[in-house]
Amino acid sequence: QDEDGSGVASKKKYSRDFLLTFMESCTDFPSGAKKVDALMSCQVGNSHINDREPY
Amino acid sequence: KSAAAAVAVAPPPPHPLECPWTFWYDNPSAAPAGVPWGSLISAIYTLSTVEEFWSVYNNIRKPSKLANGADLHCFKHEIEPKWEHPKCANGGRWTISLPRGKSDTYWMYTLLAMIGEQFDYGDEICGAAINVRPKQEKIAIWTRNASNKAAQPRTGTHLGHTALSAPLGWAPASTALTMLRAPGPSQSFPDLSSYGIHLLSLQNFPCVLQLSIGRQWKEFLDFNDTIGFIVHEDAKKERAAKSRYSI
Repeated sequence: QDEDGSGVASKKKYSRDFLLTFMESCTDFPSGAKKVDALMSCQVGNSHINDREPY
Repeated sequence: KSAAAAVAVAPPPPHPLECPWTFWYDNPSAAPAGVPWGSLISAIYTLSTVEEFWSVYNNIRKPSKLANGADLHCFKHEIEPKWEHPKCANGGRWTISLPRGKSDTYWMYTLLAMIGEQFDYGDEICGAAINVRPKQEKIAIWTRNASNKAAQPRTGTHLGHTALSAPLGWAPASTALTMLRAPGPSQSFPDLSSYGIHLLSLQNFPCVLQLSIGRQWKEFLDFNDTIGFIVHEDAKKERAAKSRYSI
């Protein structure tokens, strides 16, 4: 549901309200992202489930 | 299992953004002595979909929960959040200052307006930064071409021609001309794009672009105080550089 209703092939525009509809459903920190302690919210800092070494 | 069942469980396709964006984090004030300012900046993640944006945003601290001294940036991919970067070197920034702990929503709305391509002249935007300090949080939008040095000598003729070729030309062009001649506090600014004056011609008038970005940003945030635009070059020369434009 891109907001641009002009019919012109243009930028991928998304309204704030549209973007906010995805806020609740995207909760997993991307696996390739860098974890900087001072930046991570407590939610991630307290979760050890995903922190195990793969081997 | 049937093909229909497989389709039913497949996740919906992600929503691509116009361009990838990178989150950067730094806290120069917490760096060990002797480490050059800004040298420990970390690229956190480069995202290219709406879903990835939230996956990062939801897991990093809101500005109110960041330590004093922290700097968080969200910049277009391949633009480093440094004055010296070629895409930033001729640019500047609009800044709003808020009391400590009061910027979370403004920061989120700024990011959403950028990644959602809500700015008429979004191509001019490098990214957004938030600086967390003991008494205030400052949000800035960095833009690419701040200087109007090149535009000034031929302001009259060039914008005049632009206006003549535009369907409803003169009214907005004369307003813009007035502003170009005397950049300063402005009560309102016309949406030139609706008059057929497009980015192609306005690229020669960075002042016009900067003012449009500042005005739209305030609208998106519903922010009513006057905001100022500081050119990076000015900020390099003196710590308390004056705003080139305000709106």
